[in-house]
Amino acid sequence: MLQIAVCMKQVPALNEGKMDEGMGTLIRKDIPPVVNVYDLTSLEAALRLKEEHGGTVTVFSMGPESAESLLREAFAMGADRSVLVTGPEFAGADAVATAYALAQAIKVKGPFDLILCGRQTTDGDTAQVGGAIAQFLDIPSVYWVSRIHAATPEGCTVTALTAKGQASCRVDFPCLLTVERELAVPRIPGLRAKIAAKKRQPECLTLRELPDRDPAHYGRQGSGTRVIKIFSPREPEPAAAVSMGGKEAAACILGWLDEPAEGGIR
Amino acid sequence: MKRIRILIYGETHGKGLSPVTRELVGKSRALAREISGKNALAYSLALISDRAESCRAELSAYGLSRIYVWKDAGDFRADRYADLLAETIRQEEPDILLVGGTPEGRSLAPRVAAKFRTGITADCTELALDAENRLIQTRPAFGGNIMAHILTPDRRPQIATIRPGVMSPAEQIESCPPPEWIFCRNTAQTSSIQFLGIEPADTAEDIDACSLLLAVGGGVRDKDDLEMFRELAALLGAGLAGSRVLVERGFLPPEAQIGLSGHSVRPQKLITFGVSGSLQFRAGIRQAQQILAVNSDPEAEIFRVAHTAICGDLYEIVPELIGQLRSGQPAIHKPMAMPRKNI
Amino acid sequence: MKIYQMEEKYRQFAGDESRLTGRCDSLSFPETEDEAAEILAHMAASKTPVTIQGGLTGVAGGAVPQGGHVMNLSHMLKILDYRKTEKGALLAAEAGVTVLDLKKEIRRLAGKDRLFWPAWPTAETASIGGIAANNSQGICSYHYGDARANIASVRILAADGSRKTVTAREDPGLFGQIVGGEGAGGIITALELTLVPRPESLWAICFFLKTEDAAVRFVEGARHIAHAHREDAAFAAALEYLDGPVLALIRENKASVAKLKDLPELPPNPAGAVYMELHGPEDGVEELAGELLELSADCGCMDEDTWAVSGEAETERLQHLRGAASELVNTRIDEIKRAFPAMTKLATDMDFPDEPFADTLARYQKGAESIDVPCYIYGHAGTGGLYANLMPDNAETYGACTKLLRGWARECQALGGTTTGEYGVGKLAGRLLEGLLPEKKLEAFHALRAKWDPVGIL
Repeated sequence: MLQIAVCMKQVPALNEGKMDEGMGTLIRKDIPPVVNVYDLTSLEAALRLKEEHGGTVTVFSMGPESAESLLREAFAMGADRSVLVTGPEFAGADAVATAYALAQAIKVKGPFDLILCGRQTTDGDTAQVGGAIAQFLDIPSVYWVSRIHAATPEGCTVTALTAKGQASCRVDFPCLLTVERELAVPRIPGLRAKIAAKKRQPECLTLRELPDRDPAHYGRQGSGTRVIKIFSPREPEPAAAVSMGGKEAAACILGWLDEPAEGGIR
Repeated sequence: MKRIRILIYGETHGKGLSPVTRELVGKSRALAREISGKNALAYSLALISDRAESCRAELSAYGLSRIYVWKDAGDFRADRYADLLAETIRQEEPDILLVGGTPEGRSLAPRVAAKFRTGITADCTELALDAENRLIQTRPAFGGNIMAHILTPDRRPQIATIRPGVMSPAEQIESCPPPEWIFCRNTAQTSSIQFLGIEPADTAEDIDACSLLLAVGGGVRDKDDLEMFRELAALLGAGLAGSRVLVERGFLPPEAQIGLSGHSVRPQKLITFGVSGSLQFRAGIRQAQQILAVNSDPEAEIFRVAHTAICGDLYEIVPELIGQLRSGQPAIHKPMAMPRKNI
Repeated sequence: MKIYQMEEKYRQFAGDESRLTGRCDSLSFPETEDEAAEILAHMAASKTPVTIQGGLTGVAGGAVPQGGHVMNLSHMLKILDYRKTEKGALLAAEAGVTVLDLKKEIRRLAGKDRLFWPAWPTAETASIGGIAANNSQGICSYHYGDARANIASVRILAADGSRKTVTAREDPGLFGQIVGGEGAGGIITALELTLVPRPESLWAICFFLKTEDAAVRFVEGARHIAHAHREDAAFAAALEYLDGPVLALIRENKASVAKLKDLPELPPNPAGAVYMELHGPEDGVEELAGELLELSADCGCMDEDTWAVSGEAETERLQHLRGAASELVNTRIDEIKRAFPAMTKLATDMDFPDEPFADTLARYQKGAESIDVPCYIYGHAGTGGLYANLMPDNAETYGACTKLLRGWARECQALGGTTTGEYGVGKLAGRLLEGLLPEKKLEAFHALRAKWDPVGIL
């Protein structure tokens, strides 16, 4: 029987967000939110482990009340419980402040054997939240997990990317894993489950219900980072084609390969 | 103003330093040069490894102030290494911690950030210092369509991770003052993570995951010609993909197809050979960071989106490239300035 | 005026998705209507036939040149005007704009209004000019209508150099002949699209049926339910079918088609699948979904035999299943073509009016069986406009398939249906279905031609 927690986040749906350059902020309200696609993989991994070993899957998220729709999708896929950390104190949190809030919620609703997080979010944070949660809970973490082989009540064996390549390792519970997309293709809920999920509600946790109730530790107040400016990346201009013979072209290509990658991304 | 201190998390690879570590040192030196006032910025390194000796000579030539070494023969464990790095931070009290965006670095950095409840910005594409010598961290957001400047104004250290290949590596300095070597005592601890072994690498690399990608198109005449491209890809450590035309001809399998009905790829660098650049192909390369295109037709559509454009014969160019790579003496020089087209 | 002589590097412009190969002597890529007019005048003077091309996604061979000059409009990409209206907006754009561009521009221009163009097909590189010329039906044409119903006006450049804007409201007769006329009347250089609001709630559901009987019963039942709700706030916007062989093709090739990678494994051996989209207010959509759920249970669907998602992003994910049908069938044609070069797309695009779904399906299946040729059937189950794709692999069976297609076309005409719906006549159907094409359409085509293209270059 495994008690599994999955952290999930809603992100803006599209990559083409409209920017208010003057304010330096993103206009989020035009863009419908969706579940971070990487988190669907974590949920899928959790559901498969539950199907094999028994236990429960609890989804955690932090966000406004509208994040309920995300949690209903999780129910439709098969999650047993969902917990939404919500309240004005949590708004404007960066990766570490988000991780702290989620870690607190996990402490309230736990204990859990295993915590799963997605590799990154499409709107910025590259897997920082997972590692920070693990530290706040003082548990080991393994990143870049592409396969979960076997689990016993004491721990699991996984394949993960390391500096030396793909390695297999055994981790004791409790632990946190950040999972790669290739680990699983998330299931699509059946129609019956989707309709039934509409009636289910997440459990809401406000600041008062967390062990640490100091608002200075959460949200914007609790964040070390500040976005000071947002701008459109410089679009590299296409170059005119220059005629070259074999030798010259080869030298040019090799020189180009040695240049460091450019800052801006198309 | 107070002296700024940077601490770099160093990594080893094989018998020497990891390329990304050299790049972080390079960036630190560049920041030191930018800052006004002599000796206004000092940079140091923390290394958790049993190969410090083999890096000694190199590390001594980079102008580092201090090098902390924790001797550790085991495999990387994020929780353990985070503890050691945190210990170093308590000793060195850096303003800035730079970590490479490697599998290790990216799993270590957030744990350290949590320990100090400080700000962390991952995958920075640029670093700079503002008027108060605080670190301006620049990175893309929202799939790369927007760039953000981020500051960690109050908490310390300011933590930034940078991916390999983004910054320029440091060059060794002749007769530079030697660093102070600090050997730290690493008390053995039991770990709840146990490494079982390295798994054999997967056969075909997903073209979606390649950071360097070669794409071939209709300019390739025969199926046999693919051989030289496979060799080139192997020599460069690049993935090999193709346009729809080649898949239709049966030269490449559908998994290798780039385009609207194939894959959308996002390599750091993409080189196309003989690809005309139809609309449906271009739809698959919108997220490639830098594109170099080779085509014999000066009006090929691919040149509308290529950052570097070579009009030439791939049957001349590719064998030459292979020859230079094989001999191990590639003529590396900066590409000549390309005239920009007025669009 | 840039006119290029045909050479090897332009080979891609000698064919479209029909797999017919053509030939031409010269090409041009005008960037403005004026440039196009100039080139057209030049061709008219030398009496050179001109074939117009857009995104080259057509399957009837309309864009395949048979000598002469090719005018490719894919460089005419300007958005000309955007006006909010009571019901949504009007967006005017040049003919070369693709569906992909259109989606991006609508997001940019409409912003929080959240609009869309219901007539866009699954082929994202299709140009709006081509869509209009063919009167294409998008996946949601079931409710929102075909291209004709979603275009307010078109701008025509005729062979005699005259230019004219034809609106649906003021000149419906002429408008109806041009949109869907496949070039009748001249070149469509720009059009005004009517954009409508995206639904408040969007659900996409795929039902996998275990037997063909069950599939047929489900489609009939779904048609019934959809019909009952067609005037309500929440309605069925799409009702598409994929037969067993198509599903098997998808399963076999799933790993190699990039867009299918995000989809889980299909249930084992389904005999057919039905893709539906529900649009409208949340409560209404849920209720409608409930009715369809009951129907599916009656047809033997267990919970793992249905896939249900909501929202734009997830719906697009599921739409790829339907889109993969066309792509994989076309890939299969390419494979056959390598050994049998004369192979082309051989698909029906016929509307048999008011016919039970079972009959439409049986006709195609029995026909294909009678000549022992594999057949992939998919398409608009709501209207009965199914594409039956025949896959011969040699000249003899190709001939037998042609005969079969003609037989079906005859049957269709006799029952009062139209023999080419949205694929168009092009050159392919023209060849295959000679003598069986919709008379009215051909008459109109010739009449317009006589009026505006006496030389007959277009």
